[in-house]
Amino acid sequence: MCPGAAARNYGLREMSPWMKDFLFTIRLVYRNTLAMAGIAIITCLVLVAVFAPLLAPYSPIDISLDERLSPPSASHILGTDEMGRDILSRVIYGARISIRIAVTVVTIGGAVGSILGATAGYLRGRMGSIIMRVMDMILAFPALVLCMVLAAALGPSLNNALLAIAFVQIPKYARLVHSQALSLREKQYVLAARSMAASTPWIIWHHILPGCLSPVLVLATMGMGEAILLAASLSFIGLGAQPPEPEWGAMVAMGRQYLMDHWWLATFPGLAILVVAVGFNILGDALRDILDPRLRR
Amino acid sequence: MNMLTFVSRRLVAMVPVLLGVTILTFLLSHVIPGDPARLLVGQKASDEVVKRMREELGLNDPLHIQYWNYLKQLLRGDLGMSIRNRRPVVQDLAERFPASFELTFVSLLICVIIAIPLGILTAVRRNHVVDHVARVLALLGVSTPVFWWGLLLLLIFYFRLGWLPGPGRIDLAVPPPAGHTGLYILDSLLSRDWRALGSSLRHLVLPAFCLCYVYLAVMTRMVRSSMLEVLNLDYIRTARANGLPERAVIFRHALGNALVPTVTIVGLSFGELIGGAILTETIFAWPGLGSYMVDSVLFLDFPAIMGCTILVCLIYMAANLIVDIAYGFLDPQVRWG
Repeated sequence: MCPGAAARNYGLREMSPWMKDFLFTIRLVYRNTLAMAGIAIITCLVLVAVFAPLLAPYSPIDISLDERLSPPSASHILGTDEMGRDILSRVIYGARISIRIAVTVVTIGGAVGSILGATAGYLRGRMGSIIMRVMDMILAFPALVLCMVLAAALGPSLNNALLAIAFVQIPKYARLVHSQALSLREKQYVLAARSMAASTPWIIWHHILPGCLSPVLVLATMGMGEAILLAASLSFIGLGAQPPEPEWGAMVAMGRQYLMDHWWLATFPGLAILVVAVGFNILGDALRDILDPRLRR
Repeated sequence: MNMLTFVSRRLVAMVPVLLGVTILTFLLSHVIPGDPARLLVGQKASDEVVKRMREELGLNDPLHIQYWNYLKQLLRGDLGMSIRNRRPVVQDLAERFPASFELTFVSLLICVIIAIPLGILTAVRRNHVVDHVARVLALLGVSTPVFWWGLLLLLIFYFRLGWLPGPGRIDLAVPPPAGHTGLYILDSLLSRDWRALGSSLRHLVLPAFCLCYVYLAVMTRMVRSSMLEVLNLDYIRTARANGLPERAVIFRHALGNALVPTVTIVGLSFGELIGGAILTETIFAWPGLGSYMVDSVLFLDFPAIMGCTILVCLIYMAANLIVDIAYGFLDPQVRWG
C-alpha cells in the first residue's frame, strides 16, 4: 500500500483545521434563511449582469431624442432619461458595473489589507508597528473624505474611484487580520513550520492567511455593499463613472436635475443600489452570526 | 488617573496621527494633475508668469522643504489662498463651519431622541412586531444611498406636497438673523428674530432627517443589542427577584450599562455621519463644509481641499476623544487611562 492511501481514506482527518472550519461554515450558511435571502439577491444581480444583453429591451447608450423624458409606460417600463435612453436597460447594464465595483474593491482592498495585516501580526516588532501606524493614519480620515481627495487626485473616472475606495478599505482588513495573526503565530503548527525552517512568506501564506479566512469573508461581504454605496456616492458627486456609462450613482446624479417633473430618472437607479446593498448587508449580517465563536457549535 | 492627565495624554497621542494626516494630504495635493501655479494664474498667462509663480510658491524646492514650509504655515493657522475665490481658506472654513455644525448637531440630537427609546422598546419586546419593523428599517437605513434618500425627501415633501421648504438654510426673503455664532437657530433665539427662527427651523427638517436616517439605524440596533446583553445579566435577575417594577429595572438598572457600548459605536460611526453630511449638504445646497469640499474637489482647488481635509480629520479625532471621555463618565468601572 502506498503511503498516500491512508491519507486518502481518512481525507477529513488529514484536512487542515481551517478547511474543516470553512466547510462547516458553508453548511451553516445553507441552513440560514437570511443568508440564503442575501445569496438569492446577489445571484439575481450576477444573472442580470451576465445576461444583460438578453434581458435589456433597448441599448443602454443609444440616444433617441424624440422619446426623451417619457414617463414609465408599456414600451419603457421605467421610463426614459434626458437623452431618451431606456432606464430599465440602463439599470440592467448597471448591474455589470456594480459587480465590477464590488469585486475590484474587495479583491484589491482585501488582498493588500490581509497581506499587510498578516505580515504585521506575524513579524510584530518595528516592521509590524510601522504598518499598523500607517493603517491608523488612513483610518483617521472619514472614508468618503479620503475617497474624494484620492479620486480627485487621480482624476475622475470609475477605475480611479475604485482604486480610491479599495485604498480606503485596506486598513479594515489589515486590522482584522493583524489581530488574528497575533494569536495564530503562537499555534503549534506555526511553531512546527518555523522549526523546520519554513520561510516567513511561506508561513504567512500557508498558515496565517488561511486561518483568517472566515472573518475576512464577513468583512468582504459587508465591504461589497459598502463599496457599491461609496462608488455610487463618488459617481453622484461627479468623481466616479462618467456619462454615458450606465452607473447607478451617476444616473441618480443626472436625474437630480430633472427631479421636479421627471421623478423616474433618479428613483429607479437609486432603488437598484438599495436592493443590491440590502443583499450584501443581510448576507454579511448572517455570516457574522454564523461565524461568531460565541454562537458556534 | 484623573481626567486632565487622560485628556492631555490623548492629545499628545494625537500629534503623530495628525502629522501623518498632513503628510498624506500634502502628498496627495502634489499628485493632483495640473500645475498649481498654472491654476492660480489662469490658463491664458504666459509661461514667464507661470515660472515666476512657481518660484513664488516654492514649487521648485525639494519636496521635504516644501512640506516643512507647509507645516510652518499650518502652525500659524494659515491654510493658504483658495484658487477659486482667492480668499484665505481659513476664512471660508470659518464661515462654512457653523452651518455644518448646526446640521450635524440637530441630526445627532434627533437620532439620540429616537434611537434610545426605540432601541429599548425593541429589546424589551424582542421578536415582537415592533422589533421586526425596526429591524427592517435598520437594514434599509444602512443600505440606502444617502444622496438618493435626500432626493426622495426633496421630491415628496418639497416638490409634491409642498409641506417643507427646499434647498438652502433660510428663505431668500428672510434676512439671516443677526449674531456672531453663525448658528441660525441660536442667533435668531438670541436676537428674538422669530421669523428667521421659523424659517431656519423649517429649512433644517429635511436635511437633518436625511442625515440622521443612516445613523439612526446603526444606533437603534446597537442600543437594542447592548440592552439585550445587559438584561440577561445576573444583577437584573436579582433586581427583578427583589420585586422591582419592570420600569425601574429597565431605566434605573439596565439602561446606564447598555449605553456604554452605544456611545462607542456613536464615536466609531461619526465618520459615516461626516460622509453623510457631505452628500446631504450637496443635495440640499446647504452652505457648509461638505458642499464646500465637494466644490473644491471638483474645481481641483487644492489649498481648499487640504484645509478642509485637515479640519475634518481634526473634528473626527476630537469627536472620538469626546466619546472616550464620555465613556469614563458613563461607566464607573472604566478609569480614564
